[in-house]
Amino acid sequence: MMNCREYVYLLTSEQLPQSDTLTRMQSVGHRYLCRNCRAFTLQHQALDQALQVSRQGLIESLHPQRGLVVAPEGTPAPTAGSAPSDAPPSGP
Amino acid sequence: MLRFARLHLQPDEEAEDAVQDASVVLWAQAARLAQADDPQRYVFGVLKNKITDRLRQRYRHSHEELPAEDALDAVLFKENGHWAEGMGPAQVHNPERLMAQGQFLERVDWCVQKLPPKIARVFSMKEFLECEAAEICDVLGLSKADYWQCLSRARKQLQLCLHQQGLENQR
Repeated sequence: MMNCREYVYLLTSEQLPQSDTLTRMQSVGHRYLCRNCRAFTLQHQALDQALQVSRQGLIESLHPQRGLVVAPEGTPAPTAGSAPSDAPPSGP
Repeated sequence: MLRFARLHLQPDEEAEDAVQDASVVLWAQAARLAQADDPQRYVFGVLKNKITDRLRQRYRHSHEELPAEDALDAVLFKENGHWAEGMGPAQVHNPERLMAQGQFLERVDWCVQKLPPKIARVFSMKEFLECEAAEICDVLGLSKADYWQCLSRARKQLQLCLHQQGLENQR
């Protein structure tokens, strides 16, 4: 039978969704029986939400029209159609 | 950009260099950036690449030891693997109420800064740079088992930190 330490490790290392069916069933059973692990799971989800909000805020702070992207000193002005050499791999 | 880079790179000069590298690329790609559907995502993508390049150079071949997992687990759990007395999170603050009051994010931010450096790097690459597990392992030279351990340790330590803060605020 799964104990709290094993359940918490699977949850926090994010291995639970990829675990086999038996492990996932054991984790559901454990969560049903253990109020501490139910509470921990709720806190875990709340932390996820908070991090998502925080991440979104950070990305929004990178908006180029807010003057946060500035030309480095001595850099020549770009020309339209200049070939980018270092675009993000899955970038827009 | 600098604030974002500082989350991942220390000392400040290293973060400044990454931002400068990213700025050069963005300046060269200004026309493309102007046409991007989501400029913030575009800037994020370029900056992320510059940060991970520097992290890769620095940490890929480093052999920094992980803090012992047992020490944290010994605080949280009894020998039989169940929650230690008073460590179960049942009586902890209501996160939804705290989120509404804007306190939760502040507490999370404070607690993230208290994580050991290696664990904080894995956690911030996962949560703030949106890197996949394989990329994090490649950049930091970690095995999958080390990655899982770091992630688990970070989450548990954050929960413990939030728990302790919640209790302090109830006093």
